[in-house]
Amino acid sequence: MLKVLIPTMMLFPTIWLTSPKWLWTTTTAHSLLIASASLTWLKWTSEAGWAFSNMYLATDPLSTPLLVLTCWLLPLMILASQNHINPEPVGRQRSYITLLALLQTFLIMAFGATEIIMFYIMFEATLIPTLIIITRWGNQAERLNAGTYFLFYTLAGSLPLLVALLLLQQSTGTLSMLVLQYSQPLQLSSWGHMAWWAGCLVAFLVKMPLYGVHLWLPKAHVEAPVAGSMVLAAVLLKLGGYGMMRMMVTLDPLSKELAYPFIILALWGIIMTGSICLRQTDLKSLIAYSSVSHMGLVAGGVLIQTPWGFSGAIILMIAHGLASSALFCLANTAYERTHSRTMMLARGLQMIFPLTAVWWLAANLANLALPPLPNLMGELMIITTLFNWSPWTILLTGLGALITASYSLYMFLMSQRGPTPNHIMGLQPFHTREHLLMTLHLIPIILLMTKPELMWGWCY
Amino acid sequence: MWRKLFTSVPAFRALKAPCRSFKSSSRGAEKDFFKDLDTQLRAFRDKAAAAMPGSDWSPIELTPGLPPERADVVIVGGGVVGWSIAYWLKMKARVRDGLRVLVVEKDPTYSQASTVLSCGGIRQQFSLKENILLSLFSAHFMKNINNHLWVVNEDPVDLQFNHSGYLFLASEKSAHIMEENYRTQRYVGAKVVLLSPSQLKERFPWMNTEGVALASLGLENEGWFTPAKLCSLISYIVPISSRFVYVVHCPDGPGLDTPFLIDYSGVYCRREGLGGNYITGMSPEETEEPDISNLDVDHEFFQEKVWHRLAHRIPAFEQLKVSSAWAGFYDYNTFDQNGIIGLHPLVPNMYFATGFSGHGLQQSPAVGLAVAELILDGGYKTIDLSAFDLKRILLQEPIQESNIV
Repeated sequence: MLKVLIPTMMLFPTIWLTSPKWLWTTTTAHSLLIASASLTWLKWTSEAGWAFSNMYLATDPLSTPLLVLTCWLLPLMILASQNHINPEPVGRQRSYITLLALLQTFLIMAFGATEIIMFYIMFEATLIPTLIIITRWGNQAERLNAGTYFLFYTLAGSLPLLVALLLLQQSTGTLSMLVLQYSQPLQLSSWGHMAWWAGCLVAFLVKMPLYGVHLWLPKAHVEAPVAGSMVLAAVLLKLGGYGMMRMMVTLDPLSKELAYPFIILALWGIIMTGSICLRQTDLKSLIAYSSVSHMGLVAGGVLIQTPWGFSGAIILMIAHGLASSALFCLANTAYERTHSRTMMLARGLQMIFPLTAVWWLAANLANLALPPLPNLMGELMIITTLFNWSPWTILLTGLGALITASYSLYMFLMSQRGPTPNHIMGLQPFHTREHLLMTLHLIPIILLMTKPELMWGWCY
Repeated sequence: MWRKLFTSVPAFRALKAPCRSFKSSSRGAEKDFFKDLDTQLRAFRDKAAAAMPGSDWSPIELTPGLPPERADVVIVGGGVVGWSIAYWLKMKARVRDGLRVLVVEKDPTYSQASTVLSCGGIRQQFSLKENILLSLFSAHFMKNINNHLWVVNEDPVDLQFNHSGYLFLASEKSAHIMEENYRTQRYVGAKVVLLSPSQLKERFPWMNTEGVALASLGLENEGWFTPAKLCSLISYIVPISSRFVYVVHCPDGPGLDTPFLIDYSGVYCRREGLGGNYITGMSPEETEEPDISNLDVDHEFFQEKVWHRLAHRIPAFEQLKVSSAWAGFYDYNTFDQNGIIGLHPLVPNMYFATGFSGHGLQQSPAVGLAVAELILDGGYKTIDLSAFDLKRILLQEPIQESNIV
C-alpha cells in the first residue's frame, strides 16, 4: 500500500519543483508509474480477507478494482486537461495538478481505509478539491450554483453519517472493518434504530446518486472542467457505492424491509433519467444523466445484498467508470473545438474526424452495455439478482436497458452522423494526445473482458 | 399578509394601543432601528408570500434584464430578416432551448428600420428563379401565418394581406424581357398572366395605356401587407440608400381592385386602406441617390419626377394631394441588386443574409428558413439559394434581375 501512497505524496514536490517546460510530461509520467505500481494489487495472494495491509490501510477484493481505477485515472486526467489549462500562468497550472493529485491521495486512502471513520474523513475530504476544481476552473457562471449544490447535497447526507458512525462506535466498541465483519448482528427494532440505519446509508445514496437526490450531479458534471467531470463520473460516484457495500455488513437485519423504498427509487430512477437523456440538448448533460441511470442499477444491486448483486455492482462500477470517463473526454474534445456543448451544432463529425468516430462508437456501445463488454456483465448480474428478489423488476430494468440503448445511439447519431454544418468544416484536427487518451480508456475495458475475475469482488 | 390576519382580530387592536404609547417613548435611535427592521421584515414577508411554489423568486437578486453571457447563435440586426432567421432556428431546434439564439438590435423602437418603413409589397414577378421561389414560400408563410405564429389566448395574427397582385407595365423595348420572365415565372409555379393593352383597358378602365406594350399581372400570392403588424410580432428582445414613399389622397382614383402598379418608367403606386389613399414613389436614378444621413423627405422629388409620370399613367391622379410622406432605407446591393446569403469566405462561423435591395421584407420568411437550414442542416433543403453565395462577388459574376424596381 505504501509503495503507491508514498509516490503519490511525492507527486506534490514533483509538481512544484519541475520546470514549466517539463511539467506536464513529468507529472503524466510519474502518475503512469504510480498506476503501473498499483497494478500489483491485482495479484491476489492473501489467505485472509485483506492483503497488503499496514495498521490503517489494506486492500481487499472489493476495494482493489476501485483503487486500480483511481490510480489509472490520474494520468488520464492530466492528459485530458493539458490543452485547456496550458494558456494559464504556470502557478495556476501547478495548482490544478496539485488538486488532482490531492484528490488522488484522498481517494486512495478512502478506498484503502480499514477504519470506517478514516473512510468517512477521506470521503468528506474529497469534496474540497472537487469543489475548488468545479468553481475555479469551470466554464460558465453556473458553476457557482453547481458547486453549491454539490457541496451541500453531499454534506447534508454525510453529517447524519458521522452521527451514525459515532453511535456504532458506541455500541460495538470498534469501527474497524476487519473487526466489524465478525461482530454480532445488532438488535435493531425501534424507530431510533431505523433512523440510524437511514443515517448510515443516506450519505452514500446521495453520492451514488439515488434518483430523488440526484440533482447535484448534472450540474456538477456539466460545469466541471474535463478532469473534474472524469474524476466525478469515474471515481467519486463509486465512493458512494463502495461505502454502501461496506456499511451493509453491519446494517442487517433491518435492511430487509427498509431497503424497499430505496430499491424502488433506484429502479424508477433508471427509467426517468434515461427518458430525460432522450430530451437533452447539452451533450455533457446527457452523459451526466446516463451516469445517474447506471448508478441507479448499482444502487439496486447493492441494496439487494446478494453475492450476485455485489459482484454485479462492482463490475458495473468499474466498467461504467471507464466508459463514462471516455465519453466525457470525447465531449470535451468537441467542446474545445466549437466552444459549445449544444448537440445540434456539432453534428456530422464523422466526416471530419473519422478515427474519433470509432472512439465515439466504442464508448457509446460500452455505455449501452453491448456484449461482451463488462458493462453488460455487471448489468446482467444486477438484473438477475433483482429478478430473483422480485420478478416484477424485470419490467423496469428491461425498459431501462431499452432506453439506455436508445439514448446512447441518439448521442452517437446526433454527433457523428448527419450533414456536417459548414461552420465546423474548419475545425482543428485531433491530437495524438487525444487519441492516446481514448485508447487508454477503452483498452482496459476490453482487457477486463478477458479476465473479469479481477472485478468480481468476494465471489472470486 | 400575516399582519392583515392579525389586525383583523379585534382583540389585537386593544393590544396595539399600549404599543403605540410605547413607541412614543424616548430612545430615538433604537426606535428607528426597530422600525427599519420591521419594514424590512414586512417587505421580506410580502415577497415570500408572493413566492408560491413554482415562482422563480430567489433571495439572491441577480441583475435582471441582462443579455445572456453565451449564446449558440448571435444574429446581428433584429429586422425582419434577423427575426425570421431566429424564428426558424428555434422552430428547427425541436426541443425547447435546444439552441440559444440571441438577436442583437441597435434600435429597439425600429424607428429607422427598413422593416417598418417598407411598402410591404410581395410579388413573384422576378426573373431569377430563386427570387420567385423565395417570394412564393414567403407568401404561403404569410397566408398561413396563424399556423406558425399564433399564440393561444391571443387574437389571431392579422397581417392585412391584400391579395390584389402586382401589375408590371412594359414598353416596346422591354416587352421581350417581360415575356421571358413570364415563362420563368410560370415554370417555377407563380400564377402570372400577360395582358395586352386592350385587355388592360378592359380590366382597369382608369388606366391610360399609352406607351404600354405588354403588362403582367400576378393573380395569386401577390399584394401587400402591413409591415408594422409583422414587426409587432418581433418579440425581443451593406451599403444603404434611402427611398421616399408618398401617401397621396385622390377621391376619384382607381378602385378596390387596383393592383400594385409598377410602370416601366420606374414609378410605382398602390392603394392604401379604403379611403381613396394611395402610396406612391419612384426609385431615383443611379446618379441622383438621395442623401442617407437623415430620413427627411424630399418633396421636390415628388413634384418634379414622380407626379407627371404618375398622372400620365393614371389620369385621375392629376388631381391629387400629398397627405404625408416618409423615407426608408433600402439595403441596396450595388453589385447586382440581389441578396447575399451564405458563409463568409474567411471567418469560419459567420453567415450573411443581407443586401436584399428592397425585397427583404417579402423574402424574409424564406430567407430565414434557408439560413437556419444552412446552420443546422449543413445545406439548403427547401429552396436552393447557392446562387446567392458571396463568392459570386469575389468571382465578379453578377446575377442580375431584369425589370427591377
